Amino acid sequence: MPERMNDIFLLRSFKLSLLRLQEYSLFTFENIRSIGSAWRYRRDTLEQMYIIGAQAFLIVFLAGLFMGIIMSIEAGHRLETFGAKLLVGRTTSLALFRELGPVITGLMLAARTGAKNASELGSMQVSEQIDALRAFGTNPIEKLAVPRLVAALIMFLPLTLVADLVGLLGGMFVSDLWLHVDKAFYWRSAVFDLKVKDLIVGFSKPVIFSFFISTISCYYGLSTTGGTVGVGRAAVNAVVVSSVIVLFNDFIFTKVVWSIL
Amino acid sequence: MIKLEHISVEFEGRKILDDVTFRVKDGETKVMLGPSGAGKSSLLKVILGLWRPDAGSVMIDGTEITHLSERDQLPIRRRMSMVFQGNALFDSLTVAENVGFFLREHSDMTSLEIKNRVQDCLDFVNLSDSGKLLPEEISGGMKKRVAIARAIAFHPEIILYDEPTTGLDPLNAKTITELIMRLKRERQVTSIIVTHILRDAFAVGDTLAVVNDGRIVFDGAPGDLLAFGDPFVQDFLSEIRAEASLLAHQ
Repeated sequence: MPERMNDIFLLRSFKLSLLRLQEYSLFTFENIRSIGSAWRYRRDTLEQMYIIGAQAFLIVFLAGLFMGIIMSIEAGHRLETFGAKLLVGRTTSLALFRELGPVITGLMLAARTGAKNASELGSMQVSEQIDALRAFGTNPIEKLAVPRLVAALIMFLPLTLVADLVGLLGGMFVSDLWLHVDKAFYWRSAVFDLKVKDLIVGFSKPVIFSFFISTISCYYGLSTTGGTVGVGRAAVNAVVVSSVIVLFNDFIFTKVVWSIL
Repeated sequence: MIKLEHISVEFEGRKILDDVTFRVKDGETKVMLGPSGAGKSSLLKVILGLWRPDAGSVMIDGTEITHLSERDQLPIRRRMSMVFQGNALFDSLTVAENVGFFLREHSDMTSLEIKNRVQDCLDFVNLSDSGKLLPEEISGGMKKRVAIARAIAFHPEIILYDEPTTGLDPLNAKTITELIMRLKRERQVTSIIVTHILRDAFAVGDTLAVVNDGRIVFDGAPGDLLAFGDPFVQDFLSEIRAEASLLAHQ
């Protein structure tokens, strides 16, 4: 009997997950269909660009800086063993531009933007403000979700570039200080050895990540139920699911790119 | 005219509305009475198209709205307005911005025209000097009045009120009831008011409907309700009788 109950529970959970996926797909489709409303609500879009982009500058700056420093120290010491420490610039820039920059920035923004979107929209949902918007003939997806999506699509790319460049600079100073690699040499090998392919890979990822982080967090926010506890649950789910999706997309994207490029 | 026919709504296996049928004529004020959890607020959400019923139809001036998509419902919703139980004021906007929200979103009015209309609405609810305040800076009674000002700003044909006086002190509740009566008198809007306060129901209602367990158990004139023999209705009415006898003794 308990085994049967377990089966029923698993079946219900599976059905619920499928329903959630269906709802999310429809929500995402509606976002894409309404993308033009970002112009109509350009003030909201600009405000979100400021919140999602400008206000996240410091956290991305610090994350990028420490990433570059750690990467240079780790790579430098390993390469030194083989007498190849001059490759530290190239190794650091490749790791930063292709993987670490987009992924760490993606995870930072999944936490910051994901929690913000889900809790903000969740609070509006449980206090009937979303119902009020709908009652007054305003589509909440157009007014609230699309400006957030467009702002994320625009701002994640420059933020990733900031993380990459600051990381490179951090790595350069550490390499000069502790590994005694000439700054000019480091910079030349870091920048000029990068190929167009690396840049395409590195700068495509933030666009994909921003799309998923924004739609997932807005979906969780707008489907919040259960009062303040529900708001907390929506924020946690948004951050966890967005982070996992960032890593999963990174894996898929890397695999696909290696297969075709 | 608002026409509901055989509306049923189920949520997580529980019937919230069960075969509900009623009509509200143009200019009429219908009060939906009943205990908390009876399904009164759900009815408003179905009428506004925020909830899709599992069965039945909702007609607003001859247009069936239950099968319309959210996008297609928007033009019909723009003729209606609602005062929410928790007010649902947009907390990031000032009082004046809340009141002018619909006009900025859906009208071709200039900023000056909107500003004047907002001021008129704030004057109507006696909040002339509160436009610059945020919702968190005003009292519960004032919030309710802002919600009413927001609801009337675009001159809707239909206004739905969800528990407009619940949680307010008697003085504020009286102010709100008077505002609703003034709106009825001066603007002839069609109204549906959900409440469990009998005194308000008799004060403003042209017709009353009593809801219990998702079903309409009475629908008619206020005078007929007092004579209605249903045990639940009589039990519900005992409150107003007790109040009346208390007043008589005083």
